Amino acid sequence: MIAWPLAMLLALAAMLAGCNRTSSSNDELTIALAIYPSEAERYRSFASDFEAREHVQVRIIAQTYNDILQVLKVQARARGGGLDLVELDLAMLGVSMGDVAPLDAIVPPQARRLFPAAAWQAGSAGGKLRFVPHRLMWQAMIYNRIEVPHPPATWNELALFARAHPGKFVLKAARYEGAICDVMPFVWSAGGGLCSPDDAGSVRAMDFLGGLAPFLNPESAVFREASVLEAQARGSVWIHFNWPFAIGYLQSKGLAPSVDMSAPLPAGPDGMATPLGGGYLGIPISAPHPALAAKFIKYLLNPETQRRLSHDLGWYGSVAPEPGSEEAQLYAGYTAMRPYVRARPAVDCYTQLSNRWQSTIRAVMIDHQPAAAALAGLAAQLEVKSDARSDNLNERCGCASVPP
Amino acid sequence: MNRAAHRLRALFVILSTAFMAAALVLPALGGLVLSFDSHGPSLHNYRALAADRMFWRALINNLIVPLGSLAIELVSGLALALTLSARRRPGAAVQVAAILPFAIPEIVILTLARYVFMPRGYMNAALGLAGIHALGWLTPGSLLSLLTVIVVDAWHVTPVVMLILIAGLQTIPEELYEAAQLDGAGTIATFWYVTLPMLAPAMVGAVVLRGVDALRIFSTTLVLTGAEGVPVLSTYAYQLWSDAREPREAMAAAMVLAILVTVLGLAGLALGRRWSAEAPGKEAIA
Repeated sequence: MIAWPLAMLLALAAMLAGCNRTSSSNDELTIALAIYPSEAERYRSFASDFEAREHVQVRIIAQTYNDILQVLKVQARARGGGLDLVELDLAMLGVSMGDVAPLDAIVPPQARRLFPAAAWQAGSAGGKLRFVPHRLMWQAMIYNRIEVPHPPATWNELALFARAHPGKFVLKAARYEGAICDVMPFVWSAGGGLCSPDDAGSVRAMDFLGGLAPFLNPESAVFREASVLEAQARGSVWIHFNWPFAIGYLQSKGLAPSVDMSAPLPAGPDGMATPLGGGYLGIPISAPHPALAAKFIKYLLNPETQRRLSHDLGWYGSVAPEPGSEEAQLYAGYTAMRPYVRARPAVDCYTQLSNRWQSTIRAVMIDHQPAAAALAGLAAQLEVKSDARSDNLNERCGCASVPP
Repeated sequence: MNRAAHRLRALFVILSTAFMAAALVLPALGGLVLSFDSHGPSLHNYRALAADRMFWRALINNLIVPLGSLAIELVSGLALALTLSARRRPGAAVQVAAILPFAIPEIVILTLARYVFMPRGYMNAALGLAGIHALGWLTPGSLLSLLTVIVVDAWHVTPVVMLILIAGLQTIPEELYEAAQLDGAGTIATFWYVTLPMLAPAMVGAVVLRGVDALRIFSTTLVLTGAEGVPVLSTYAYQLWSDAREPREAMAAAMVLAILVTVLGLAGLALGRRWSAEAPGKEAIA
């Protein structure tokens, strides 16, 4: 009569024993990427060339950036694990620098030309390169060319457009990283910065945005990349800032280039700027196959591989589209913004810094608080002084007062 | 009961208790500890919530939305239950229409609702055809968006209340209605003195079950308005965990929700018991 429960217990014990075992062979490279399952299939196909060359098997694990970060942290603490390479979002690099191995010896000098200098700086800490760019992107303006034949090229033109067409311009002001990516181009192009909220440039930019706030689309408070793109596709919105995938989406809907196109972001008093985004690759300090992981990074940092990566995965990466091609027309805004790419600081307390900025952005743009007061409050929270000059980026960003 | 049966029973009790402890109690305790952790034991996470305007909006919405939704569900669920269990029952089409919002997967029904209420959605298109200005059904922070969320939430869960009440109606003895008819009671008097008191236990069950469920509202607000449009505690906690990457504060928000659900759930149960004991017409039936 008790045979069944015993059998169940034995089965449970067998399952637990099975869970404890990690399979790791010397000819298998395990990469955790933040991609969709359909992209994982294409990535596997892309990596087959490397597999044939090195006689190894590449195992792709498709996960979210958050989950990959958690596994990396666990793997680093446990001094063991199964991941050989991890992809993290640029905004997560600061908190992960100590969990990955230095890569300076792996990256050849000629590979440095593949990506903008800002992209390499973002993957470095303490003078050492810890992450290499994997798929880079930056924002450009998506505009409805029928309703807006001449997209605003400067702050003044943008302000005129917003006042003339209330609700047709959007800034993503939901409480997430997208708000930083939409607002920082204004702050940077006024001479301000994420780590200097009480700087005159930061105040000027936020003042400008506060002036635009009454004319923004009311859903700015909740819009994110996908939802604002849907609104653009439906014609509710005529101008917004987004990543290159937006053009691919609009093209798939038959709206680009016939209705929607990309253009550079509006220039401010200090010129133009756009936030760098995308995924970076790092080798966990406890990776089971670090040498194989290094080979894969070297394989990736090759112009031909980069071209294939862009082509096979449809990512707008290090290789600009052929001049005169349809892609060149579609991605004209992104190509024009390439020299103005700026990286958010890869500091230990980036998450907290970003969260506090997001609250300040909402205070100015949604709750209509005066910009100077809101930014002064932020600077006080961060204990950042505008005259503070330090070689240590963490100190300059007030990380001492905001423990990660 | 022989010894083998005793052992078997003990084994099942131990297994289920161990499972509950492993799957529910331990994670809950872990969450509680995490909510009081900020580089050591601290109230920092709760203080951070108290200083955040969005938290207070979420807390207030977490009371308003379930209350509004529950009121609509109870009234419409009762109306539907009475209609569907009447002697002259409506056709199959009406029955299917009544149950359909619950039968369709939640994400599908909410996505459909979003298409209906979005700025260039079907509702505004219909208003446009009638020559009426478009309305901001989902405009973040507006009263109308709060009402939209309440109505959509009530709409797709009303069939649950309806099914519970239909089951309750089927337990009312037919003799009571015959006796009421002989006494010359009209429709309203019969409803007030027979149906309602006899249905009270089922209504209490429906209110407590749906009330607790409604307090944990998540997907309706998230899909319709995003985490910031009509924030409730669960979407607020989700946003803290997912976007802000503040798991400790997220856990503190989740703990506030857990306390809210427990306290209001128990209070609802106590009030419900009292109400069903003192329901109008109880004495008349007795």
